[in-house]
Amino acid sequence: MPTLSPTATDGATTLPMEMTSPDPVRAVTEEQQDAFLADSGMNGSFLAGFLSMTLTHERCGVHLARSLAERTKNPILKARYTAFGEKGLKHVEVLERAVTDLGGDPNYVAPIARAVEGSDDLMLLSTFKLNGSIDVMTQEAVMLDAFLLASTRSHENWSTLQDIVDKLPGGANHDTLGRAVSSCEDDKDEQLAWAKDMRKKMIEAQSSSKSTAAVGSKVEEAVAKVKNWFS
Amino acid sequence: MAFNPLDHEGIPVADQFRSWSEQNIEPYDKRAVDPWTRCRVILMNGIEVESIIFSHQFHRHIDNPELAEALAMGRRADKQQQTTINLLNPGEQSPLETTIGYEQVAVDLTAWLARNEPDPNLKQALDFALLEDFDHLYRYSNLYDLLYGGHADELTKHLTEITPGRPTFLHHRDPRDTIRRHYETHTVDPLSRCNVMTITSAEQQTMNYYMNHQPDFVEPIARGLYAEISEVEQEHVTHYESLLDPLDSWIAMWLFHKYNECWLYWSMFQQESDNRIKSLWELHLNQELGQLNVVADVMRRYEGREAAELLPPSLPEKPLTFEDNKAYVRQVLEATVELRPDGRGYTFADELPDDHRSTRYQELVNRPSYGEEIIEENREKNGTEYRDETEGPNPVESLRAPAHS
Repeated sequence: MPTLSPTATDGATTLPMEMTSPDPVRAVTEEQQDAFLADSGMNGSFLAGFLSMTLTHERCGVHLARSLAERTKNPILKARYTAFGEKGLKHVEVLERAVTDLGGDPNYVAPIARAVEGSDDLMLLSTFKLNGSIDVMTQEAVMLDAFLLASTRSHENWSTLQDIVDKLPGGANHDTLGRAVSSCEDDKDEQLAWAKDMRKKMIEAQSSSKSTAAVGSKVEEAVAKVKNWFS
Repeated sequence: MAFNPLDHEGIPVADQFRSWSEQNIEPYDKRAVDPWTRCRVILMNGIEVESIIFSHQFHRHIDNPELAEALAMGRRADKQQQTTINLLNPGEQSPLETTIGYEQVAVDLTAWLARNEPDPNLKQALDFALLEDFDHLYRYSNLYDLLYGGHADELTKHLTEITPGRPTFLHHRDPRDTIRRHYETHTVDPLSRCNVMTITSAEQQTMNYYMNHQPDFVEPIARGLYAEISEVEQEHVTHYESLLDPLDSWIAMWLFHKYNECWLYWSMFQQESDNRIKSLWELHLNQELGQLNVVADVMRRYEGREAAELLPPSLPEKPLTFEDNKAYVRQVLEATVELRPDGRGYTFADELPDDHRSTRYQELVNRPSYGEEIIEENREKNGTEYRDETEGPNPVESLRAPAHS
């Protein structure tokens, strides 16, 4: 099973920073990170950080998809979020294996991964923080927006990984990362296309229905309307 | 045997509310009580206050009726727990006597946490503030002697020594020198997280108690001492809370609060000598298990993750224990009495420049240092200052009583 939330129990490591002071037994050094893919001619520390960030975003993506599947009122969206969550889990597994095969540590949490986790947490929070002051349809739109944003970042990360593959000299490392990217990139294309398309459809569905957010409209009616979207 | 709180349903939150008479529990006898029982009562009151304040803060940052209701339910249960625990303190125990209890907690809680802390950076933070709370116990004990002729050892029962630590007039520092570097949430040992959350709550409660009780006194020297030490406690709250990693989400922080409360009630239950109070710790443990399950459900629904992803498979094996720490405190005192904070780290006093910002701050506020005046006035009145040095003279020569110098 892939790790979705690295902890000390999983052997997570990190780099000390100005305010971050990890337990020395769990700390790595910049020099250790520089040694990552040392024969590639590329910045090893940056690559280790980029892979850690990409992996973190994939892990957060699984959490986001599972959370949205749990909370959406629409059965079609629920099915798709569930499926994307399952695929996301596979992508985490692929990336963990690739990082390990490249000589890295899939439970290394780079400073940039912490930054991405922070922004992903806020994006997830945005999907439920204001539920009391927005209607059910808007809640669905906010959730889908978060999914689109997360999918966009994910797509860009995997696209950048392909750029990195292209720059790596031929050999085992090139092939390892290349295989990982090629096994996931179609899923990423599909996910982003679906999120974009669904957002358009959702806006169309809302713009063509009456009093979507009228004060006093019954929640049950709104839920029923959302349930029937796209059917 | 390993105890995983996620394996226990506990009491459902809706079944946790209790009547006024159940909350208005009979207090302990202040003369007969085991001092460690008083310490446990003071600690767990502070833990519940933190839980309540955290829940209020979370509510103020969320506009989600379902979450607001879950928070409100748990918060009310915590409020009733806090009331019940706090009413164990007897009315005839004066604010100053309770203060001496708070400082005994601060010394023996901090020392135990430091002795059991795996991360050397966090251990140093605990050792550093330990010597300051140790000194507060000495200052307040002298105030007790000076004002009422009271002997603090009647409360502490000689379980904790009373002698100078790092002198209080040296505790005041530029606010920027009270901020420490934090652990990293993915890599932190689960015990370290519990340790930091526990000491932050305890120091926060001490700060609140002193801030609220400083006007209770008529004597200017008592009011001044509370003013002086309550500011140090505020420094300690900053010192400890800055050890927490702010990356955690609100829901994750909620989960960690409940997990820590489970560990603490489980710990208190293991060691409580008073059967009546032991049954209260057991009840509260079962209530916290119920609350932990609610937060786990919230996390699954709103964050799409399982509580078990973040929590270890069992509580820390060792219960947090109030016990003798005299040798440890003496060892830390001897080795680090001259340590001073400098930015995010520490340095020895003789390495600090004369115009260091915290030295300038001390010159500003110590006009006078009531902590010093208490000792001088008590010496003048009683011919000697109050100490309870059960293990011999203070290990630091400059801190020994005049008779031992």
